[in-house]
Amino acid sequence: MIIQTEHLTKRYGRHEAVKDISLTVPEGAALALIGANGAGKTTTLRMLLNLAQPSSGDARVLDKNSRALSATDFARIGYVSENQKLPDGLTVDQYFDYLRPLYPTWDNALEADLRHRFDLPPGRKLGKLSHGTRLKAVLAAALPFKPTLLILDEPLSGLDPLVRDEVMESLLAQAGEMTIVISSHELAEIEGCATDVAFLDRGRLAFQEPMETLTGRFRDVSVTLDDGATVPQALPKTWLAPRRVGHTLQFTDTAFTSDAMLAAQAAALGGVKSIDARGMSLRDISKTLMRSYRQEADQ
Amino acid sequence: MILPRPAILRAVMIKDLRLFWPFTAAIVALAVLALGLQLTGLADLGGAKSIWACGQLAAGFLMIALVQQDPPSSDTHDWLIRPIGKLELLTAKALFIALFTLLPLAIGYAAIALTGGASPSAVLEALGGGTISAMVTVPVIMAFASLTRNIGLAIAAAIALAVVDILLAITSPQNAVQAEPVRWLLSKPAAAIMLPLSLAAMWLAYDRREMVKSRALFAGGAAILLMLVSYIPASALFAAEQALAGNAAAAAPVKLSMAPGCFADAREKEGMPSWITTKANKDKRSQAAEKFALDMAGSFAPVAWTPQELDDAGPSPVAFTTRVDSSGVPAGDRLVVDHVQGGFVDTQGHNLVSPKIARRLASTFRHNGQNDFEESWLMSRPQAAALTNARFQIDYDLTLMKPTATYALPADGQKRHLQGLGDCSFKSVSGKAVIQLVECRLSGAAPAMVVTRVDGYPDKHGQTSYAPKWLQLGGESYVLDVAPSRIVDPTAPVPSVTAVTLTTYEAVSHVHRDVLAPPGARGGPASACPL
Repeated sequence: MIIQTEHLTKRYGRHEAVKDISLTVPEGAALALIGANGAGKTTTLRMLLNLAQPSSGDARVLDKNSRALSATDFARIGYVSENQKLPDGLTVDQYFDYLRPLYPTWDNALEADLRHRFDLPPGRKLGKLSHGTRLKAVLAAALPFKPTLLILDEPLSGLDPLVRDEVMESLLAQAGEMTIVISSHELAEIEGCATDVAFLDRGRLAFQEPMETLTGRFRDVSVTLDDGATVPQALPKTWLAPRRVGHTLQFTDTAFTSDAMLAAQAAALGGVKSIDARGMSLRDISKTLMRSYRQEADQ
Repeated sequence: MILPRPAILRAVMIKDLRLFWPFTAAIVALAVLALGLQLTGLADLGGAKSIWACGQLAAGFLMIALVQQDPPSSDTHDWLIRPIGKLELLTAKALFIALFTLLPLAIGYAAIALTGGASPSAVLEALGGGTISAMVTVPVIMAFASLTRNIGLAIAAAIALAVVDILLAITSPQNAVQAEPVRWLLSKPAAAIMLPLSLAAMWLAYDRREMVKSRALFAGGAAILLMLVSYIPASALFAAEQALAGNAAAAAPVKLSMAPGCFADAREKEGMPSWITTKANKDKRSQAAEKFALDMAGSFAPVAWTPQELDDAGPSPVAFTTRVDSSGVPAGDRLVVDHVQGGFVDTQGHNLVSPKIARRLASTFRHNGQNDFEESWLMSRPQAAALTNARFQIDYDLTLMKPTATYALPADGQKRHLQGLGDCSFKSVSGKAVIQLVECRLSGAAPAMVVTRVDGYPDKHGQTSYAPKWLQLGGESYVLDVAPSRIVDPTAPVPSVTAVTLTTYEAVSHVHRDVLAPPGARGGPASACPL
């Protein structure tokens, strides 16, 4: 495993930002870490990189306790964060001059390619770059050494669609060679490259599973009912956010296996005219889950 | 922990140089400017020292900013996720400080000293001493910088430490002339403790990333050291010095006795002006205190007691002067007062009241190396009235000093090498406060005491210290002001001075003596008890 955490917990005073998280990321995987704001994504990533110390539990990264990550380990880890504080007084050129000797595996051709693709102004100081260009500079600095593990914390935040595409293209070009952990709210963009999804809810890991499994078991369902059909109070717990609109019952099935099975479940409602089950995007799945967890918390 | 790799050190240093070259350029420019003033003969103007101080200040800021560029206290700074070892980072920072901060200062210093007439050996020795000093102070500055996130917080933390220091000094219960010559017993161990303390704090911060513990260790350690420095009684330090030095027998014949006669209640004659004790005008109060000191001492003194001490003594306080004579001091030797305190005692010897001693007056002007000592004391009028028949006891901690060498130095401002002392010059400087200065760059360890003698002036001694020679850094600067008494009357003609005699002394023995005045010795009229 490239990453393995066990009961990872982080407390700030009385507030538990991360609670008892155990997750694994195998080599070559691209894990999308998703969840609402304040779910604990950034704190988890920081603990993986020893930027924050766990209050309890362990995180192993590249087969090493994250607290013991050394300089040689960081030569294999790339990190991109919108909050990364750069040496703002350096120009883009000077920044890359600084980074190049730090990494024995630095690929000058890849650096040139990325800088060209991102159109980074060589002579401009990092502190004078726009938010988007700055993020592109950070990303361009995280790839040329071909990291074994790439951790991305909101790498697309605040970027315009064109730049997002550029960033994702660059990532996808490298994706096969490295393990990626990406935390982002731009789920449409990361859906294409994520192989696994971990969902955090208020500091807890709600689930972690392969993307294929997740998108396979989530369906946006519309059941058209006969006139006079009544919807029973007790619906299957795997049906999230059920709502009746006229003659239609809409819900999200979180345990979809097959159309036949869904039809059998729906038949229990009585008076079913038709069933329409559509696959859901990661963005829609995420929204449904967030809404559901929020309701659960409110109750 | 991996050993520093040259490629990483180079990368970090080049990065820092690109960020901080203006600081380094400013330091070089200030050093060049100071050198220019030296070469053009304008170095005596106050500006030269100010420029040099600015250079040192810039160096201090650079050190702090340099460390804070890649701080351990952050969880967002770029270096934290780069393959840079903690030891590599600290080594790169230390090398940067050495090459781009201290080296320009050292070169500037050497150039200024050499063009000022210092010998190459003295300069080398001074640079060697400075290097050792830097090896202690730079890690302390780096630790301090690493625990604060930015310059603003660093300044705030420094101010907080200074406030703690001032508070400790104010709340310190001591009422005595401080034993400066034995302060090395505190200052040297404090420096020795701060070095490992700083290294431990940096280890906690960089390696363990335990910022709270690191800050607590550093700030707590510094506060405890400040507290020890403020609260350890001078008498205890002197006792420690005595125990370390031994050889008490050498001073066995030394005796002290109260001078015959009474102690004049100086202010009873005229009454202290009430505006001394008001807070209406601080400058006025300072002037009043100064005037009072002048009247008391008969010579220039900045302030005998602080305005606060005068306030505390109440309206129309009483001041009086005691004089103690010594005997048994071998010819040519001097008896130096390191620490003195006094108090009224009852018949059983229990302390009743300890008047405020005029600390600056006593430490600066009365103990001029002569073998008799005068102290001035301040107390409230009601206390004085109640203690008319009590006896006054003064406790002296003394050191017997033996001369080791004597040198003559003409007043031509030229640097001369004085074998066993260093490169010294004697020159007259036109100014408000000091007219004649002896400046020395000592070679080897500083003597325990250097006394200047100029015809027409009282003998003076510079900073006295009994620190062992092996603990001293070589090449220290040493400045002795020769003639302060002229300031009493600025209009008086300045005696023509052609030469100064310097005598170095070593400490032979430390002794404690106390003297007891008979009841009623205090309070005679000024005419009967002249100052």
